[in-house]
Amino acid sequence: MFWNRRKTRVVEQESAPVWVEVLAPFSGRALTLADVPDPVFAQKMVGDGAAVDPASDTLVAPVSGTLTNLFPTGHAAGITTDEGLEILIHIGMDTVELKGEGFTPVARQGDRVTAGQPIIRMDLERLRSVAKSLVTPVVLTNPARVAALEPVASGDVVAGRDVLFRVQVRREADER
Amino acid sequence: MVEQTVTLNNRSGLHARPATLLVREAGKHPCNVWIRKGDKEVDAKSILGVMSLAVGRGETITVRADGSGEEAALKALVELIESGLGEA
Repeated sequence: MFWNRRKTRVVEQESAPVWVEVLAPFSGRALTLADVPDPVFAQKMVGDGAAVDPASDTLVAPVSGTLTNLFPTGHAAGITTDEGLEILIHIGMDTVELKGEGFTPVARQGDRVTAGQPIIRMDLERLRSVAKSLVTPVVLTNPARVAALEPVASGDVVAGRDVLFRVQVRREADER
Repeated sequence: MVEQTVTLNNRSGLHARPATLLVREAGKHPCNVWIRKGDKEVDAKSILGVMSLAVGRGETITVRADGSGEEAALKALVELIESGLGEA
């Protein structure tokens, strides 16, 4: 009888939903994707998530994982979490055309990163004068792994501390 | 399995927006699709994968498709890339 109860409890623990918290990559103002001045992001074509209008100059990892993507121009980064979520952080709009001007990566593609760890430093003053927008979407690019996504933050957020949104990981029943 | 090599001629390489268009097109096809640059090959249905190739303007990539509808997938992707991925 005790065995049965114990087993049941373990099964319940194993089937508990796994949530991943995605932190603000910059300090600044939290926005919805609809506020991003680019239809590809605003219409969630790249993926669902949220955005920040940055007031700080260092992009920090919003989640722990592997830095699977650090674009050579330093304006975008992608992290794959241990749960298999792929998160893209894209600094500003049309910033690829700056060809790296104003962006200094401080991590390397392939690095293991911890949430809150600096990835890219930027020259905020210079970029404000040359970039069309610095609004930074943080989006999940593999929706097949997502069971639910809930926005958390609104208003002012602090980089690496405040949760921007949280994601429930979809279980892959046929895996393992 | 079919594959074709194509030169990327859009303005600023395979960054977020063109990569998204490419991945969305690849996702419409039931077969597996990959993009290769040099000796690195990635799943053409993954935005982070495609972006990680960091393909620049004028660089050559190979599209490979395998499975149901592979010919149609290859044709659609090559045409999309040749058209400049929305920013020729």
